[in-house]
Amino acid sequence: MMQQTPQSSQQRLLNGRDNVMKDANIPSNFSLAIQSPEYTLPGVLHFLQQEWRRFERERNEWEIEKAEYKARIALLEGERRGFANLKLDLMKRVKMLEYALRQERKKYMNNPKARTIQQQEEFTRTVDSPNPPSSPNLSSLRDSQDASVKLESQDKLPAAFVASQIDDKAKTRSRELLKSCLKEINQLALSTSKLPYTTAFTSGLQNQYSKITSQASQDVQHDTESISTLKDPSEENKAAARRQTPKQPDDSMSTFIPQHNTSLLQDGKIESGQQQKVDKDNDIPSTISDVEVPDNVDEVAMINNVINIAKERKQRDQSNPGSGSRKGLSEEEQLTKDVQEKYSLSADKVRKLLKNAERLIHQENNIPMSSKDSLLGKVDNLKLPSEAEVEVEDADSESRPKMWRAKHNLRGHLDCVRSVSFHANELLIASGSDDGTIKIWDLKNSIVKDSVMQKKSSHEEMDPIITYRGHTMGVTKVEISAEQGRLYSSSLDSTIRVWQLPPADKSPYSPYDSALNIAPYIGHTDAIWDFKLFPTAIADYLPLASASADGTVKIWDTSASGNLLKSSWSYNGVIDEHQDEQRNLPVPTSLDICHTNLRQLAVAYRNTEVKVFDVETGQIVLTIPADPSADNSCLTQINKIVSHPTLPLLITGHENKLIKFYDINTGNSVFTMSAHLDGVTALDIDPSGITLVSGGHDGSIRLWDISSTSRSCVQEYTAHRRKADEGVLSVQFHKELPWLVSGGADGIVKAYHHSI
Amino acid sequence: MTTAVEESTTTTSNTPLRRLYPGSHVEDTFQWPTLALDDIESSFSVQEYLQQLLREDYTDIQRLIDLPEGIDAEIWQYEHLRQLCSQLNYLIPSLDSECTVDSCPEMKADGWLYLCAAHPVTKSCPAIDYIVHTLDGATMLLNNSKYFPSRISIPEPSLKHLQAIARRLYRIFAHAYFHHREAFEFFENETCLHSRFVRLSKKYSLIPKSLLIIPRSTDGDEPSSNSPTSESPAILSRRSSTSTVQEIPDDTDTSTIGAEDAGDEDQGSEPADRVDDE
Repeated sequence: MMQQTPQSSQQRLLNGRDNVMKDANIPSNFSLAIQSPEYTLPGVLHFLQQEWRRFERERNEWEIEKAEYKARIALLEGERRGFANLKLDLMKRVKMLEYALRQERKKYMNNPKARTIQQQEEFTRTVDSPNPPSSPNLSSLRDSQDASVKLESQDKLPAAFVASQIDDKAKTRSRELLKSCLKEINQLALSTSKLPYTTAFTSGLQNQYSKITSQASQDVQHDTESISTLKDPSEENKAAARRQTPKQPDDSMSTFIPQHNTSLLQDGKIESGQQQKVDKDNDIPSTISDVEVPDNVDEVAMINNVINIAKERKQRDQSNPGSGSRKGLSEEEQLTKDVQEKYSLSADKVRKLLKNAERLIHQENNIPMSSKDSLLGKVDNLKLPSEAEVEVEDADSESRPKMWRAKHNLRGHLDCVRSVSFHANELLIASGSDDGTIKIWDLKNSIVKDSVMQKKSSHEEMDPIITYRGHTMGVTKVEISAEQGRLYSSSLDSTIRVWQLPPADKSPYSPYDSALNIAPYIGHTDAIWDFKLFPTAIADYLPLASASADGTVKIWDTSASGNLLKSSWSYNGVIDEHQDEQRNLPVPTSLDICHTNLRQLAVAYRNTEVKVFDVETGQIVLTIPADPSADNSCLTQINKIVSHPTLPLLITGHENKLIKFYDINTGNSVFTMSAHLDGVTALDIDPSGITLVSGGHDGSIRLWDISSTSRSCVQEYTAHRRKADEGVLSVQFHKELPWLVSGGADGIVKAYHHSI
Repeated sequence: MTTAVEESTTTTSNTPLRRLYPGSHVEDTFQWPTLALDDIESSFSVQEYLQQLLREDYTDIQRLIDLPEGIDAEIWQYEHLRQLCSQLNYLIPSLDSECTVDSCPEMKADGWLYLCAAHPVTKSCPAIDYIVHTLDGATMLLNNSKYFPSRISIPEPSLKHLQAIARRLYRIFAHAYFHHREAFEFFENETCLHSRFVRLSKKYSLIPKSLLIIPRSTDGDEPSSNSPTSESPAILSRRSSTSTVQEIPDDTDTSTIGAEDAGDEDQGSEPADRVDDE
């Protein structure tokens, strides 16, 4: 006799849902429509279910709000929320009235305000345990006539029975409505692969109600089981469900005729697909609650997702062991198909998603409720493995704080990269190569991509934002002038060229703009090996000093357009007329601006002498005598000279593996160390003046703590493969950010990050 | 690792090292000792060997394109194409003064119109854009570690890219030849790049002969064995067709020209074949 209760309540619920579905289409009639289900819904079982739904709804509310924040499509989200809220209001009212009704009849559930998650969980458990949640759906209800015939005999709740009869009229009416709705929905879903989201949502909303109904019978089961006062109809219900469910996959596969059960099933899937997409995009942690409480598909439908669907299916399969495998297979296919159709995703993607979902369910079955948080982590990991990777990476780097880690390998040059340079403020890298080109790389883009997408992108190819061609021989040195928005480059072709930096929004294959090539500085008669831009103006112009194999150091006015060459110094100072002599004098190899006195320029010569010039006058302020062990050949020469940013210190990197420190005031050698296994080619000091980086032909980059007296090596790694007998050719710190860049003979530009 | 480096440096310390020393006169740069291919011990041995051959005599094309012993033919082509791109960088500066949007609003050569494949939808670019985009794209593709992960062997599926790259790069020569003859000749005299490229393409079938539209006289002293003499009339007939438009189908991936669509590109050669037949 109790068996009638679920049946009739199902029917009533169905009516209610049908009305609601109508409301979904015509929201203005909302409050009117609510009335009928309110007054016709009796029963303890329903009270229990309503409470259940309320909890779920609140969860969903929270989840939807979270989704809002994350969603990029504001319009869609707004609409979605609107519908959801309408539904919630409706449900709230229904539940409240139900609750009052129930309280009067039976003082059964006396804790309606139990809303904490804990309680919910407990509740879930109690429901969960007695119920292997088969989720019979509409078909079982549609054919409820058969079932009810059987069940009638056992009916011990005449009120409910009567109610169900009363409902019959409304039921048929709303069934008609539902039919027409679903027909439309089906057409939409079938005809267009890219169903507008709004439409999808409407159908989804309707499906929710269909699911409510379909779920109702099941929930009724739970309730009866957990409520001991009522007799247990679940066996019969289950039997009915079993009889019906195996048919569905075939139906859904074979036909799109808007029969209620099949079409609903399909729509449910589409809906779930949508939810899956949203879920993926927004990372709504709804999965947790949904997965935890698998029975309440009705509410969950609002934020349904693949996980839930898959789980539901699985459970259904479990309850229908005979047909399980076949059904599961076809349903999965159907789901995949629908999701694919809907979002034109690749089959692989969808499959992956489903797999993830399944895995989740698996895990979940093994994880006790208490470990919800850890599950959350796992869910996130599974859903966004890329992010997890990044996190792992970050954690990794945090555990080893003071280390530089390679972040980007920039491949784009066809030959040795002889010089790299950072933009002063931005993460722009300029690189000059033996292939005659200068390329600009924008790490900023990749970093954004990195955090959003995945760590893997650092290993993907990155295009330079621009390639400058203009030199007729290999490029020896590049430098970006942030203030001027320019790039300077020197070459073996004895010119310095000036380039305009491309606009920030330049795309890789935008039209060629020859205007970016501003002007060449012509004056040197041999290869230019080094140059340096002055950070501040001297005597109302911003100088650039260049060192060339023609034996001269020249000062250029970068702000003028006419007479660029300001002065020219030979080994002996300001140039005189004896050009013949110049040829035999030592040639400058490298130069740097003395940061302790920005009007002074330190020039290193091949014979390892270092001379400090006054930029304005060209006077030699200081000469640091040549190293006694040097033999005036290139085998002992200074390859690179840098001045310390804060201390009066000059540091030179020598071809014979040495790094030397000189006091800029006295000219005395302060410290000498054998730094590399081969010639030292590159030096730079970080802006704080604590760390010196050196690169050598041995292919390694070494970092030295020069704040201590021991000047110990704090990190060493192989950075570049050797080509011919060259290795690392250039290194530079970023002036503001914890980044380091290096270029080498292997033609690769590498960027390293240092997490503080 | 460190010991390995130590060994290699000690073994080479007796001979002049193959490196550039800052401050060197330009005539002293790259005056490196000649090594046998087997003695070049680096990941870039083939590239180094090719560059060494070029330094020795860039006019001896036969020697340059002949496959050295112990090297895959594909790798040899790959390194040649890299070198080609590298050297083509030096052609651009001499072109960009005279080849402008105004002078050459379309990428044309001898009646052919080439569409730029660097964009999401293939379109007609001004010649200088086409040249720069093609060179950029080819460079990035040759540097793409996905398609060309190694300098020792090339994965089978990537081989088709070599042909796509060669076919496109050839158009740069073609445009320069037919529209900027002076720059072309000057560049050719300095580098023999075109002759080398054409000979290489013929030898390794990188470009269908029907697409080689620059008259043979500029190919240098080419042995008759490499190209049948019967080709001349074909060239003439091709040259007589003046208004052929060659469609270059989509290159969907802008970052890697010809990477995804070399198959499509093959269609590009079909109109050419038809023209050939006429």
